[in-house]
Amino acid sequence: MTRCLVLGKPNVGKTLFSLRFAFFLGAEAVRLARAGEEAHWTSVEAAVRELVSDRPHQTLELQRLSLEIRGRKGTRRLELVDTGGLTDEIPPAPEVRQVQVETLGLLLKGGLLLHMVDASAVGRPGLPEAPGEVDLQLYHLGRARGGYLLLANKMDREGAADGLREARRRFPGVPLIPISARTGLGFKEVKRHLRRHL
Amino acid sequence: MAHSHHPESWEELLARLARGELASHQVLAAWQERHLPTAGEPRREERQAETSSGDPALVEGALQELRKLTGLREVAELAREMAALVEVQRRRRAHGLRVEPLVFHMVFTGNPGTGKTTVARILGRLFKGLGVLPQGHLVEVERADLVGEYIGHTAQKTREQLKKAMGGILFVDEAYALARGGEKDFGKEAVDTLVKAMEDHRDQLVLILAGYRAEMEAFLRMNPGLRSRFPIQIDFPDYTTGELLEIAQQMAAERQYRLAPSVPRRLARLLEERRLVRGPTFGNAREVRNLLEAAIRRQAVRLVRQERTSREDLMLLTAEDFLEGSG
Repeated sequence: MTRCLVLGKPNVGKTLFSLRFAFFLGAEAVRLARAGEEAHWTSVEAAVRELVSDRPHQTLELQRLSLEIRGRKGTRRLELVDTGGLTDEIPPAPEVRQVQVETLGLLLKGGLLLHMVDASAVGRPGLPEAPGEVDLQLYHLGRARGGYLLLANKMDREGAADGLREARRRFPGVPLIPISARTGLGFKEVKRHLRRHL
Repeated sequence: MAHSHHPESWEELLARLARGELASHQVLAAWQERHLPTAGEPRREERQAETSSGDPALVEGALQELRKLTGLREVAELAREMAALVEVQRRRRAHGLRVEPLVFHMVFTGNPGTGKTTVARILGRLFKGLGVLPQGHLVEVERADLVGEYIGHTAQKTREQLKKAMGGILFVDEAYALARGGEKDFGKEAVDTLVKAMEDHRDQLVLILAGYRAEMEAFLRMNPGLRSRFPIQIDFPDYTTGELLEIAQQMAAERQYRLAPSVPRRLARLLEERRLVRGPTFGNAREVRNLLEAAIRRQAVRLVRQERTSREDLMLLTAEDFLEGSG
């Protein structure tokens, strides 16, 4: 089973993407173990309601989803890991720092990296979800290490097309797929890309 | 990138992230610098293309250093305000709000040995970390480095020093001496050249004029245009004897020495005497350093006669090492 990390700044849409993508791949239910108790959702709406918000740092524990991609050449299994947001700043809250430690801890352990940026915020450097220093570092690591895919999320938003152009300019030489975790845009391409790399 | 030169393991970097000493991107940068040398080159160029993102670790480090300085709490507070202002201006700019150009030229007033140069050097690092200055190094000059002997010589000498300081801080010690000779003196030419450079190289240079309080006040009164160009004035008061003793402990510890319990009383008396005798030329922390260094020499003489010296002996400075009339 290949591990697949979803990484990025807070509030770029990692959790929403992870949940929707899990159901898109045909998961009938997502099961998450958080803080000892196991939760279980059978619809994306129910899971989203509980796990996603528009405030940053909602994900304080790595969330692992066991998924399968079915294809003509058989079924490939992957573990999608939804991580806590990485920040340019040093987070004051120790629990946020802890989840960053765990996230980076997995980074060197192999697997695929899905690095998510907010395309609608690319041109607005004042926003916390705008790509910053940490995105630059992830990009350099990903480009050198391989198994790396850049996801430009929130393509349904205004200004995202310009942001995508800017992102392509700023992060050259790596595969980049524009997506919308909200509408499902680009999921098919992500799936195809993952299948090739699993 | 000075912070990332330490060869640290991945685990140690993660531990520092957990302790809140590093941000996640600094962990990644430090690790990549060691393990992916090929990625280093293009990264630097791209970093410069980014609009002055600064270096939070450098900022935090500089602020911490300032906080650790004895008796200079207000300076540390002011630095924190400056750092916050730079950051907020950046955010305002991102939202398209109006920003006033930031001016960081400063006047430091105070007696010798009160920490002016030390603070200036740390501010250089702070400004570099904030993206205010590209290099943040400190060039220390005084009248003789700036003022020449014939017409045109002064402008040339001053420009040379300015060139060295470009990208960092030009620290003019005893700046009031530039006004010493009155109207005909070449000092005025030096001041004019400095002022012109401040305007022309706004983003490349911070100028600090330093000197005794009374003399600097007079200097600024005689050059009314200057005061508005140096909006930040920091006063460095003389250290109290208690503070000087604290500094002595720190200086000793830095050199891996320890002061015997009998030392503070002796040292306090020596410092009080000197303060009385020397008046405004009392060297504050510099006096402490001189006394300490003399004591270290005297300890060496004392120990070299002994056949055996323990580790403890080698570290301990006793009251007898601190003598009257030393340093």
